[in-house]
This record gives sequence, C-alpha cells and structure tokens, in this order.
Amino acid sequence: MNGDPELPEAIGVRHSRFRPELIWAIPIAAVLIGGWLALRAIRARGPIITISFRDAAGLTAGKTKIKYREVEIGEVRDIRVSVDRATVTVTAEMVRGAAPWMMDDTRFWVVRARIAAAEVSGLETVLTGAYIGLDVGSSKRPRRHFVGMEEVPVVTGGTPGRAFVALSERAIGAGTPIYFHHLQVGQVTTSDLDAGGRRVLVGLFVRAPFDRYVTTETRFWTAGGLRASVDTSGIKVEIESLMTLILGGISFEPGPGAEDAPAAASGHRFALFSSRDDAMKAADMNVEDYTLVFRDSVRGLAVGAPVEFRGLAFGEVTRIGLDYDPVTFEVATPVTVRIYPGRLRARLRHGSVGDPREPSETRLKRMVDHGLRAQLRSGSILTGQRFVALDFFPGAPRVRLDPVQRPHEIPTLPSDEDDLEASLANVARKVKRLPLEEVGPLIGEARHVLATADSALGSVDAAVGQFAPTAPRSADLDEALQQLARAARSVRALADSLERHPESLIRGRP
Amino acid sequence: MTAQTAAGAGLLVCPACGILNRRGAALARAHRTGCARCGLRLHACKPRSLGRTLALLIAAAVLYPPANLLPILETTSPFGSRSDTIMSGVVFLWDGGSWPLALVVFIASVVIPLAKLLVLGALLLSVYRRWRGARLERARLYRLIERIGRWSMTDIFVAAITSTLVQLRGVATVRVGPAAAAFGAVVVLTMMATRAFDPRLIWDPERGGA
Repeated sequence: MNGDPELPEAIGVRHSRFRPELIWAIPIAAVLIGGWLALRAIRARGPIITISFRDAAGLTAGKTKIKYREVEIGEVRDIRVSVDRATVTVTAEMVRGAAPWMMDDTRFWVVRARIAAAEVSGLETVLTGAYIGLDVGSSKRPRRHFVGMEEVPVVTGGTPGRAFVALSERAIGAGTPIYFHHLQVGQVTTSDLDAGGRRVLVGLFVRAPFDRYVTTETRFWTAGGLRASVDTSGIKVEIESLMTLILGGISFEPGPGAEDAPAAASGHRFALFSSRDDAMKAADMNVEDYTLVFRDSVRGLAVGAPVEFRGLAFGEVTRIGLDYDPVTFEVATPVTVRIYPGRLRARLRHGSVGDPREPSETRLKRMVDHGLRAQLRSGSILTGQRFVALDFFPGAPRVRLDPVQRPHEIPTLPSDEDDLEASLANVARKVKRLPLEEVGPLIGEARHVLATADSALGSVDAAVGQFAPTAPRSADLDEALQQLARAARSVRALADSLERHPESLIRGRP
Repeated sequence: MTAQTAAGAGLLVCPACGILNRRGAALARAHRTGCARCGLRLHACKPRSLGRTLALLIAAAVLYPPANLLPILETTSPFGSRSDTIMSGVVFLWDGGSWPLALVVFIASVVIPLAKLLVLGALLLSVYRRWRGARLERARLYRLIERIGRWSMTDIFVAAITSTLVQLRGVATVRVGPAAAAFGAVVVLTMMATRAFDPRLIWDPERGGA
C-alpha cells in the first residue's frame, strides 16, 4: 500500500552540504580535551612527602599549605599519629616543580603566629591558619621522609652571609641581634652546648655585605644593655642602644691589630667577651695556664687575684686546689693561674723578644733555669689580700720540671712574709720568758734607796745653809745642790712610772 | 495489538505543521523529502540516529571523569585558598549540616549525568542488538532522561553566578575551575545525544540508522 492518494506527495528538497561524518569530530575533540585536562592534572602532581612533627597544632589535612618564601608549593593531605605515638606524621603533596627541592638537607617547620621579645612574626597565620615553611639546602640527594623542626629557623638558606661560632659562658637566645657600629647586621641562630657541656656554642649569622668585616681578629662581645663602671677615671655608663637595653645583643668590632687580618672563614670560632673593654684588651687571645704548687698557706689568695711581674698585672688566679697525700700526710696547694703574656709583651719597648715560634715549654724551661719563680705576696696589710708574684730569683735552687704535666708547672718559693712572721713569733716567745714578776720587789727597794737619799740630801742642805750664800764655794755648792734635787725628782718620776708600767723596763716608754 | 505506523503506511508526518505526506518513490532517489506544506525536511526516522547518539555519548563519557575529579571552584580569601571539586562541595555542604542542599547538588550534578550516560548507552545497545523485550519500560526511561537532563545545569549556574558575584578585589575571589567547562560539556552533550536518539528505534529496531 502506498498511502492515500488524496494526501499531498512529499516534495524534493536539495541536499544540504552537511557531511554526516563531522559528528565524530565531537567525541574526538572531547577525547583531546579530556586527555589534555587529565595530562595537566597528572603533570601538576608533584612528589608525595612525609614530615614528622612533635604535634600538629594548627595543621589541617587538605587545607594547610606548604610554602617556600610565601609561594605555595604543596598541601597537607593527611595527618596521623606515628606508629610509636611519639610524633605526628604529616603527608603532603607537592607541586610538580617542587621535586628538586625535596633534598636530603631540606628543612621543614610550622609557621604560626609568634610574638617573641625581638619580633612579631607570622601574624598572617592568625587569619589563614598555620602553614609549613621550608628551606632548601645544597644537597643533591633526593629524600621523601623528613623530620620537621620545632623552631622556626632565624636564618633561612639562600640568605647571603656567613655563619660563625662564638664560645660563650651562657646561652644566648636565638634571634638576638648582632650589631656592627650599632647597625643590626645579623642574628644569633642557635645556642648549643659543646661536647663536654662546658661552654655554649652560640651560632652567629652575619648578613652580606657586612660579613666581610668579620676577620680572624674580630672581637665579639655581649652588648648587654647598661654597663656602669667605676674606676680611677670616674664613673662610666655605657648603653649600646635602647633595643639592646631590653633585648640584649652581640656587638663586634675589629680587634687591635686587625688591619690586615684575613676574613674569617664560615664557621670560624670566636671567643665571646662580656664587655667591649674585655674584648679589646690587646693580646688576650694568647692565653697560657700554669700550675703553681705552694707548700705554705694560701690565706688571703682568692680566685681572680692578680698575677704580677714586678708590679705589672698580666694574669689571674683561676683555681685554688688542694693536694693531700694520705700516706705521707703531705699537703700542697696547687694554684692554677691564667697568664696573658701579650699584656707584658705589649709593654716591651723594643718589640717582641725571642722567637715567637719557640714552643712555650722550652721557653719556660729556659726562664725557670734562670730563676723564674712564683711567690705569694701580700697586696694589702689592711685586708690581708695576697697575689702571685712572678720574678727571677737568680739564687733560687735548681728545679726539675715535669715536661708532660699540663698545665705546666712554675716552681714556687716560700713567701718572704712567712720569714718575717716566724721571727716576730720568736721575739714574742722571748718576751714571754722575761721574769716580770721579779721586777715588783726591785721597785720597792729602789723607793727605799731613794727615801734614804732624800733624807741624806736634807741633812746636806742644812749643812750647806750654814755657809754664806755669797761665798764662791757656796755658789758652786748651791748649783750642785740644785742639780742634785733635779736628779732626785727625775728618779722619783722614774720610780712612779715604773710602778705604773713595770713592762716599760723592757718595752720602753708607753 | 498490531500497530500501524505512518512510515509503514508509506506516509511521513511533518512535525512542524502536522500534515501527512505521501512518500514519493522517485523523489527519494535524487532529493531529500520535504513537507509539501512547509518545506521541512521529513524523515521516517531521525537520520543516522544511532551513529550520532553514539558519537555524542562517547564525547560526554570522556569528559565525565575530568568534570568530577578536577576543581570546579577555586576560592581565594584571606583565610587561605581552596579548590573544590563537585564531590568535595557536596561533602562540605553535608558536613556543614545543610544535607538537603547537599542531596540536591549530588543528585543534579553527579547522579543525573551518570544516569543519562548509562541509560542512553543501554538504549543504544538494546537497539543494536534488536532487543524486543521491555519496550514500554525503555520508552519510559528515555522520556525520563529527556525530561531531567536540563536540571544538571544547576551546578554550572551556581558556579557561574558565584564566580561573577564574588569578586571582592583583593579580598576574596572565586574562579571557575577547569571542571566547569568539562561538566557543562557533559550536560550539553548528553542532552544532544538524547535528542539525537530516536525513540521509534525502540519499537522498530529494523529501521535503525536509516
């Protein structure tokens, strides 16, 4: 059947130019676009790393970013407690370009808002939440598992400058500023005990270009705020700057004789002095320790007492010990002194003497052979303080030195004051033996003698009165009698005095 | 019940003006057939329906994974920046307590496109294989996906509106991510594929691809 003939027949219309195969361009384009999107997403994926921290305060999985110099290079994907429950393991996905940064010495830390004395940092994290910062080292060994730092490092890698180490007696807080001519040029990075736990190794970082002012002769000192000193030149008050008054700080300056000193290498060790004056004391860098063994009392000697050579102080007592031999009961007092030979050398009028390369042992031996001895001397009769005097005693008995003992020993001489004390005691003993009790009766007898003499003189007077006063003989006699009376008065005065102070017979008039 | 179709009777219905045309045998050789009244091209069946549907369906299926895996919105604010995929947005809404909204987004943006892809694929397969069973159910399924297809665009509308409205310079910006384009393409392509599919093939598979 071919339809109702009354219905109109469909007409012909022209072929359109549409090519049906074009429809397949759509899925092809979709594949291309989808493939490109997928490729881009895959390429954007970087290495997956883990970082362990002590805690995850402020970190959120899927939200916390990892930033290098404030540029996002990764995101925390997962946070979980480690198997041993001691740390928190943070898994993070980095961007693709971050792979070369994930090296052996890359350091990670958490940046949170921090308000320390020296600075306020990370304030933006109050709004955005904490983020993980990192610092890239120089290692070329890739790594994927890291241990995060608990403290934000003061100086990040890539900051031009040099790091040094100062040996200090006490720790100095990280971030403490370092000043050069009152200009802040660096910061303290770390404070760590040395291997023996005796001193603190303070890490210093001096920014470029100021690091070139640090030479091997540079002196560092703690610019601890206010410093007042009283000496013969009056009262001196020093303030480094208002900042250091509150926060403290470290200053450095070229030491004496630093004009042509070479620049200090990175990691160079410096002594950290407690004040600028200490730091600038000329050649104190050269320090020698010696032991002096005294056989007599060290009463009046204290740690810090000066060591003098003919009145010139050039060292100090650092330790006073005690040696006791339980077999022989011999007791000795080893005293350790620290000597700064440079202080004496600086006073030499004709520059340095001797060969500076000569080992100190042989120099010491020559000096001891020439009579170098240590002796305790009294510095003040009032306070009884004593000091150590070094001098040459050409007549001193020869001494053999122990060449292996450290510190070297300088032989001693007994002190002169000990001799004086001994002779005084001798005198006192003699005085004590004097028969003072027998003096009393002697005085009584003397008085009797004097009374008799007095009456005898009275009779003489009466006899003389019979002579005419004008006669020349009489005048002579008169004078003689007057002298006799004066002599009698003197004898009476002596007797009275003796009665009151019988000891004056021995000791003289009081 | 034996159904007589227009094509079976040698007639062509004009979908625009509604008149019936007889199919002229001679004309069919040289020219396309057109409506005698309004001139619209007439087909007994949608032309190359299976091929076009398949092509569009493949394109939509290829773009479906990136649309769901890549971020659709990238937000930058002082509180940090975050990028959301469709699913992370759903999870965010769900965690935030507004689970009805999460459900709407999930159904409109994830379930419906996926359902369309699967249903169309199944219908295509059934026509190729000339299955004869469950014709009524298949026809209903087709009508269903044709009706709900447009609702998938809600996600695109939301993304487009937020990204244009939230542009506080320097404070917060919302940018449309690469997934938005892919997702929009998926929705458009599935709708085109649905239209390209001729439901008459469910009933008369023999004419397929004519």
